[in-house]
Amino acid sequence: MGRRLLIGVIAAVAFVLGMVYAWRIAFADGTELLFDSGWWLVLLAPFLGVLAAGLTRRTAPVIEGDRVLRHDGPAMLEHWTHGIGTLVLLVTGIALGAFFIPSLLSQQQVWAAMNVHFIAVVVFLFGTFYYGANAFLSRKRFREHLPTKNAFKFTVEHYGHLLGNKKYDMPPEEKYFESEKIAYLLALGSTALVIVTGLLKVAAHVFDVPVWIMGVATPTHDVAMVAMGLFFVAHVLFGAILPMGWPMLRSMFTGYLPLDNAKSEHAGWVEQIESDDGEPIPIRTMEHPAA
Amino acid sequence: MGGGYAGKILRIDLSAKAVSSIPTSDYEEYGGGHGMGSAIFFDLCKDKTVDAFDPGNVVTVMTGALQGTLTPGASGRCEVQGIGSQGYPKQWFTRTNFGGRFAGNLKYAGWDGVVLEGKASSPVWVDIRNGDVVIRDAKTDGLWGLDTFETEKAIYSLVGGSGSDGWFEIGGSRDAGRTTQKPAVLSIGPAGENMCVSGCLVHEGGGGAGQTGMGSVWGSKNLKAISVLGTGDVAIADPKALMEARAWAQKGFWSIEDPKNLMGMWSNLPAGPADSAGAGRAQGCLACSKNCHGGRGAKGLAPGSHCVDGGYGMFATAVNPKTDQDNAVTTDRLQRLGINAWEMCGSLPWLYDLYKQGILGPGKEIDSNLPWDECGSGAFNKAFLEAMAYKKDIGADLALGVARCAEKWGRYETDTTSGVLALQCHGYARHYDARTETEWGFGSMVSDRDINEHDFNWCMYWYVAFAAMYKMPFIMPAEQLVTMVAEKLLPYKDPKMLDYSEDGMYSDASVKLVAWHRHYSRFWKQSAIYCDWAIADFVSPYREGYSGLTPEYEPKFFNAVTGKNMTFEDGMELGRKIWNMDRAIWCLQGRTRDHDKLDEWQFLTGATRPIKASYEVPYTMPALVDGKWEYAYIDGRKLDKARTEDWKSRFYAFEGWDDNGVPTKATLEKLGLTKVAAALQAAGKLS
Amino acid sequence: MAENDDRNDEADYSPQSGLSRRQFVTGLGGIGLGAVLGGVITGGLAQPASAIAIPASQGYLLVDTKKCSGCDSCMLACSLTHHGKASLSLSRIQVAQNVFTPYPNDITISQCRQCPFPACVEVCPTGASHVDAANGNVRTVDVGKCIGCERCVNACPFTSSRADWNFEDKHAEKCDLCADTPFWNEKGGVGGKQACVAVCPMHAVTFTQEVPVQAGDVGYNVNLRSKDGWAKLGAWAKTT
Repeated sequence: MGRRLLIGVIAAVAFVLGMVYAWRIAFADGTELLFDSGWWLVLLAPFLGVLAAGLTRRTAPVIEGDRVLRHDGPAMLEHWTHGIGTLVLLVTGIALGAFFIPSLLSQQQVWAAMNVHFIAVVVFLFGTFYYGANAFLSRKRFREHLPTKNAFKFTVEHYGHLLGNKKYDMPPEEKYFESEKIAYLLALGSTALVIVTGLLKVAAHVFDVPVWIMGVATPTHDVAMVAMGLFFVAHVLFGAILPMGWPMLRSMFTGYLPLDNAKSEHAGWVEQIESDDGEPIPIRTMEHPAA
Repeated sequence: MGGGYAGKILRIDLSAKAVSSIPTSDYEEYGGGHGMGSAIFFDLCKDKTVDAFDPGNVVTVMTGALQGTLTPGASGRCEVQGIGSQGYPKQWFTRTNFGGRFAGNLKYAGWDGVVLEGKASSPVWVDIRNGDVVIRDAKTDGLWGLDTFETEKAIYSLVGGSGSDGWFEIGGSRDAGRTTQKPAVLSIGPAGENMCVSGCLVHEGGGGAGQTGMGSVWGSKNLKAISVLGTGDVAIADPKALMEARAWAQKGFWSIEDPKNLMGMWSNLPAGPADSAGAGRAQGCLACSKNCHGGRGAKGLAPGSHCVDGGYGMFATAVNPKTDQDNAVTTDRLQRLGINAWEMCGSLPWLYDLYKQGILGPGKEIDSNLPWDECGSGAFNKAFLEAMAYKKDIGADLALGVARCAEKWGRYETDTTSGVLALQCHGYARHYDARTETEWGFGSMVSDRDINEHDFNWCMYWYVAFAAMYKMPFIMPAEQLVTMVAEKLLPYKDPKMLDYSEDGMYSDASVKLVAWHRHYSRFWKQSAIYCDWAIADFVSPYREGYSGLTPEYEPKFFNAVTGKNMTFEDGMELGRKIWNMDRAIWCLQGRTRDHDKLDEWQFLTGATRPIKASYEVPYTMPALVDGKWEYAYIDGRKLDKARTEDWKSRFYAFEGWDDNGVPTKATLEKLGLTKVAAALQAAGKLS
Repeated sequence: MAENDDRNDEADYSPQSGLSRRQFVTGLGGIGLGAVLGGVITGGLAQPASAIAIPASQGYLLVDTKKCSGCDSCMLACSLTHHGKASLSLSRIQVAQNVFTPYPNDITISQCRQCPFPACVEVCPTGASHVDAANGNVRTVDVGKCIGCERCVNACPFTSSRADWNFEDKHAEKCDLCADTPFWNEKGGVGGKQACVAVCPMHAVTFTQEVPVQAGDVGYNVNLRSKDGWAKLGAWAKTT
């Protein structure tokens, strides 16, 4: 835990220093855009993420006394690199202007914002591809993020229960709520779009990309940005701002959720952990409510 | 509304210092420019019998569809209307116009025109920057009291944009609009501020709405200037057609590589570097391919001034050839003071004559301490012009306008009978001879002012008379010329319209000529707004058989810009409608057939040479002589009262007016002017 | 229980022939990483833009400011042929004037000089401002790539900037010698006509394929007055 904290702090400081450096060199005469001089880092980061996933060992969720291990080290790494990367990308991206909404920046600041965008791109790509390769290596972990056919119904009932209105007859919640799984699709789709179009835009710093491709890529990048932005706002709202999300937020730093919190919010998941003996756990449905 | 129009007309209530807008589409049927101005005046001026200086007077500053576009001989024009102070004995609802960059900037700012109502409680100026319109204090901004050039320069500084690199941001955000241009300013000088009838509106040095006393009307409203800066665009219905029309027109207009003249006369007076202000460059109004404004020289005097602007100086020298003066200096002063040069051209010969008769001078019956003994000199001109602008010496009486000044001195009848005071009609100085050039004289007679429309003047008078005077060969026999030109006079196409003989001038064909001219000018020249010094183009040395660009030119550009399908004849009919609205407004002001009159001397004296300080050459014009077309020498003719009255009656009948010159209800209704007929009815004017 | 491995063996399952998924992922990551680093180190992939020589333009506009009448026809023709509208602000050639300044300093003409070392091209972060080899190396803006940073507008060394901000369509633009004039029936570009040249009544702007004699920031050293019709009449001022 202490080691992780140290690594985390060092990484955060390095990231901040990187952004400061990126911003400041933009104002020095004659320096190239980082996207021009450092484009190869954009290519390198995904491979680094993939390699790191290959070398990563995961830890399964387990109950330890009065707490449950929810997020192992790799989960925290992929979450924060992807997430902080997204935050900085959104801020710099919006500032640079989209759909011809004028940029908020003066022209010299545009250069600097692009440089900071570059730093965040590298971190984001590392984190996203690290996550993606991990998901490839563990289909179970990937599947538990995907919505089931009860997605809509369970979402309505979940929030209805929260408001005290509906009769509660859905099965106990699993690791992720159905509403969160639906939002995951949004995140998945917008991430894929933003990466594909973003890589095309980076390619334009190296090759003479035909303008019609740019004419499609840039607006699509903008749309994906808005979608990511929406996801981001909802995610941060429910996960970090609203008090009901604070235990979960803490678990993204420590790895652990208090057991009573897990039993009340994710009872189904806790049951899975308790009954887990190495067998694949069947998906629970209305028709098959018990394992 | 189609391409070309901005879509909104700016409405300024100077009394309330309030700004609003009128949709241009409300007045679409009038086409633009003058037509819209007349219609707006009709609607907004509640009591049309008020004096010019009454706050109830409504002044319009209008553009049309073509202004701000690539249309040569149109893009720069701006039409100003309202009750003018110069008209005599009645201050008729009238018009004046000017060129330059003002009209274009109004369009780029998103305005088809400006309506000015009421009177500001203290001197103001209007600051238009795109859609932002602010009425500012002309005194605290240091403008009131400045001459027109200093006013315009001061406004250049006041309307600064933010930005660098020569590009200025207007509106404070990246996409609000940028320009490298200076604002376009229309202002009055001391003459207008002091409400002298000679006060006029000046733009860009040499652009002037000179006649009618509109400068004094602005002065009466405490309006010093309008400044406009626009960064927008004018929509063009068919840009490719406009580019093609431009290429076609350029082949027909004068060419700098091959400046042809016709029988000794330049084609519609293109100016150039060789002008009175000192050789330098020519100055062109927006998009024009003729660039006839006078040059800008190294001394920076009287920029863009030409012809008439410099005419006062020429007249001054002519009245007293012994003196010497620098015309550029005189013109510069006249423009700065904002004085109507033509009013001076009319008054100076008269005043000098009174001086020579011993009636005017130091201690004389008309007491004047101006240096008359050196009349025409630079020192005299300075003293005279300043007296005019500041109402000093006889300037106090002349501020009433030459006609009312003469009336005040008890000299109007005498001097307009003898011709010493050569006013043509309605208080306006003679321009082209009513005794010879029919459409000018009679056309002015039945309207509000000296018409100042040179359409026939170039080809029927100047080319012909010049060739005759210098014994140069005519380009074609008279019959061929009149036939060729008559073909263009749609819908009438009668060569007899161009018979300037004595019988010809009172004929029915002459009625058609004057009617044609009124209708043509009201729409094509003053509403679509084609420049008087480019269009009509009847005879061109650049075209096959000398056949000019009219009547192809007018609809070609209009339709390319607006996307409409107007024919030349459609425009003539719309012109007739606008002309009838104007006539109705004059009737509401109290017009009777007795007001359609030319000053007395034209009935008593034949044109002879040399005329007092005239710039004209002996009148040789096409005429039917014993049934054959000739270029006939027609000087020496006097007008005939009885025949003139008879001509008037036939003119009224042709126009569908009653014998008092009032449009009939049937005529108005057929033209779609039912509300105008109702107004005339209510005023008891309909017979 | 931190050593508790995730009980998902499929990642480590190796079929009889072939790799486990983990081996595949690790190999892919490693090879990719090596390839990128190797490519960068050997420098065979990247070619910095500044190493490419910029070819000279094959066309230039010549303007004689002493001949210009300030009618702005060139400006209106430029916006008309490029944008289909009449606008002074959207024109890529700018004529600025102060009628009250004595001649010849009353007019300045700002036309793109098709610089041999175009600052506007060098500073563009996306390659929107570029040298168009297909159109005689005219320096022009590919508006689809413009992101609106306005570096080109600020980089132009001349006043007023010859790279302009089109605030209606929100992209940079500049004189392309009429290579792309969708609203004109004539062929433009270095092998064709220029709208401003076609409409100027004074013939104060012309086109040339030779690099003009430069006169510093002021412009070119151009006299288009000496042979026209007015010159034959002796009408021009005797100023050079």
